[in-house]
Amino acid sequence: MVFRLHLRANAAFAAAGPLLVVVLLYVFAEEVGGGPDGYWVAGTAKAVSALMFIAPVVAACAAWEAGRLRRAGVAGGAPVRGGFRIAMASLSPVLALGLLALLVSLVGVRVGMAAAPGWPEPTILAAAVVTLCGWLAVGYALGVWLPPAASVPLALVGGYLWQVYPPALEPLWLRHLTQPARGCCTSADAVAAGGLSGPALAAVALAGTAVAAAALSRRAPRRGAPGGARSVLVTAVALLVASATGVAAVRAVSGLGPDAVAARSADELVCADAGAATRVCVWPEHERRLDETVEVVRTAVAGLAPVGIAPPALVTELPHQAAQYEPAAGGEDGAVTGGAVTDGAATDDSASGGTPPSTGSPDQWTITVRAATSFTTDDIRAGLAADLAGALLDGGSRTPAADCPADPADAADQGFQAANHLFAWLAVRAGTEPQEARDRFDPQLWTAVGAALDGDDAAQAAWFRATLDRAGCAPR
Amino acid sequence: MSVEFESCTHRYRRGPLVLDRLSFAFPAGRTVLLGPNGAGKSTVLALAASALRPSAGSVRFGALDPAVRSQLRSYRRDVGWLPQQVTAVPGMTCREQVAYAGWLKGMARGEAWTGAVPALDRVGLAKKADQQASSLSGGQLRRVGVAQTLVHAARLVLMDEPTAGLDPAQRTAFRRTVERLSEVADVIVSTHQTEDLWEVYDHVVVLAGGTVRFLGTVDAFRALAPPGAAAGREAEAAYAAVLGDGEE
Amino acid sequence: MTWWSRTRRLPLLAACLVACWLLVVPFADASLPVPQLGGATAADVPLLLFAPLLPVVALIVCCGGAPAHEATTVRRVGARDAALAAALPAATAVVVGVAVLAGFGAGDGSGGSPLWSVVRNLGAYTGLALLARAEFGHHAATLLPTLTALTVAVFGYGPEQRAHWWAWPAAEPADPLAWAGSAALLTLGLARTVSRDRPAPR
Repeated sequence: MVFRLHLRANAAFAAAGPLLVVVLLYVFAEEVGGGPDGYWVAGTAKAVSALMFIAPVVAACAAWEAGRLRRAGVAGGAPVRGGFRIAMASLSPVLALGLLALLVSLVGVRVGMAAAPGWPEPTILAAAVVTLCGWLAVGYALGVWLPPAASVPLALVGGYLWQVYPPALEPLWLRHLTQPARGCCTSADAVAAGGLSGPALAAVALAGTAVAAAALSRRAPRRGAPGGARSVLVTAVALLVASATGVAAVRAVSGLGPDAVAARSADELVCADAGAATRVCVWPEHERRLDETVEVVRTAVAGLAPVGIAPPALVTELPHQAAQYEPAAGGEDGAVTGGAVTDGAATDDSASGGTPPSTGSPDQWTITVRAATSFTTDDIRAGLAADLAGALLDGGSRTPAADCPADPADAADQGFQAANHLFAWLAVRAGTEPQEARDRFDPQLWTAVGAALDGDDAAQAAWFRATLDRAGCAPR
Repeated sequence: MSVEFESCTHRYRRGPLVLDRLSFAFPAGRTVLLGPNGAGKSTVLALAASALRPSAGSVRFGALDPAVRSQLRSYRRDVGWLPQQVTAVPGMTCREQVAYAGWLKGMARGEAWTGAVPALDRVGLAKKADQQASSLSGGQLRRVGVAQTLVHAARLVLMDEPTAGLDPAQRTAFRRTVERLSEVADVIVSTHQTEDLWEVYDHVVVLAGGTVRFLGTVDAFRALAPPGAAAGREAEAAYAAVLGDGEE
Repeated sequence: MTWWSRTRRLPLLAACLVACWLLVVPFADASLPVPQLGGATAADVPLLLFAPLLPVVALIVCCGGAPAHEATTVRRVGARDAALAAALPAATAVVVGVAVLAGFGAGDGSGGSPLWSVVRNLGAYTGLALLARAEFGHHAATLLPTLTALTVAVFGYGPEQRAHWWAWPAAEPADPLAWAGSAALLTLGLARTVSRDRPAPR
């Protein structure tokens, strides 16, 4: 005989509408983090963060269904089928609801992404499904032991607080036991392995405890008699699994910080040449804007080279953490560690008299690209200028600033003002239209920068070096 | 004097119509209420017990109308009810559970406590008076339920399937209980067991589809059995004849 | 102990009520930072929002074992049940009053002790649970107050983390609308409970 599920009678049927509405509200809420910007790992992590609503509802529905089996006296009916199959006959619609809610969350996130090359991250989804199954088991065990009037509220409130409270607790890794890929990710991050295995193992530990609890209950439907050898064996194995996975879960997450992230591999970058010496690399989700970015870089390089800022070897979205200036012994220019930053051929060029002396310009520039069309070419250019200004200032900070005011407050004021001048000047040299720059910046600031821009390249190079020196007065 | 239904309609929430303008009066004495599953027997008894209020129409016991606020207490004091589901109250002994039923029906606490023992004795559970009700078997719990209807001096006792789950010896004992009870009260029993109708009851009411199909004496009911009905099976044959084909 | 109180499992109910008091009196100011979908980025949802659910769940569970023949009682069982339900916020009010006098739950001094919120919320949740029991039955009775608490926790806070007008359980301890609404819910719930032993329409 074919066993048919009466879906309309299942708690999942009643819970589906409200849960899906809450999930959609959550996914589209402006307050819930930034958009994943076409990066599927971030998108998938955002989608599974809706588990904070899905998991408690799944647990509550499972508790209700277990209560229905209790009231129906199924355990006393000497069933032929095993306890797992009986439970799954009631719980499969609940699990389906959880999966549907995850899918809706994923679709909602995808709708909010401008472009999304590739597919959702399967490892994050797998960890989320394991977490869901853990809560399904917990809800079922609660429903087996407690009446629905107690088990359903306990599953709802307990499940919700379990999901949302740990981030407020120390140690920081505690939060990673409750939800996969928590805090993941910016474009530059990949999900940390512990951020996936930890919550999945913790969910298995929860499920093991729940199975042991259900096996101990007289009211849980099962083929054998309660307290029989089979029940004892199931309880022992479940507790063993729960202990082992619990310990493994803690070990998996114990090295994590507030976010379950690791550095994203540079191998993923998609690159193109912007002239003979410069290569531009962006993340694959921004590949559609690579040509546009190359053009921005080419323009910037062409505008900055005449004033002593050497063309970089690499312009990349990879964060510039490797580039570290070391103060050059006896000199004001930075030396490079790691090969990422160099003052390049400045000395040679200066000696040859071809271009003004270089000012410790980094060999690698960072750039910021977004998939959204609202992020314009000017935004890419402004980002490039800002990142470059930061890199130059970081390099310049090691340079003893000359003529700084004695009063630290005045020195800082002078330094920050110079940094703002530098940023505006870099933006225009990198290709921003002067008129647009005039509109964007403070008129008083623009007066000084506009005057500098009126000079020839040599004068501007001198202004640039002097301004960089003045910026060094600010503490960094 | 017995309970009387007048144009009584009842529908459970979001459910189908269970009773549709039902008008009849249960005869005095011992009456058995027969009918297929879902015929409305339990609803009729719950309405008669004032556990339910009819959607339309009225129920009366003599001059008492439970819909009249001032008459409800008197009505309930006069009517005892054994519901279909008897539950054991966790932590209560059989005697406490029966005494509690008496107290609920307005008996003084001491009176109910004293009266619980003979009530349990009448259903053969005197020896288990101090045992937890939750430790009893289903049939024994049913007998506690019967004792709960006997503990107070009701003038009308309604029993919804009191013999379900009872062993043959207990069913025989139950017959004696009904006979004794009928000396002081009218008794209406809903059941599916027809083999002992002639020995216990005076009247038969057959309910089907929310309407009364038969109301009369046991002899009149027996007369409905076809002439060739097997000995001992007359009640079943009469019942089938009342319902017609396909109702059972 | 009377038979009626035995059927209501008063010791268990009392234990849960005392557990609630022990939870809220020392930790009246405790809060949980919870993500918000109601306008705030995140809100510090007070413990007082969830803690009163414990005695309310206990009330429903403990009163769930009443035998079926109570439906035809001559005694005013409904009135006793209503008195029992009303005793939860009443007893909590006494405990909170003593605790406030003893210096617990001082709050920020702007709108009274936050401890009074637990009395208000307990009243509202009790009323909701009693109404839900009358409407949906005993098993689903606790769902309504639980969902109310969760809805308030998730959607109840607007900009600057101020509770929306409808989120009574999250309102300031002295908010008159929240008190009036909670009192109305409790009154309605008690009224339905008092008439519980009258013949039911279904």
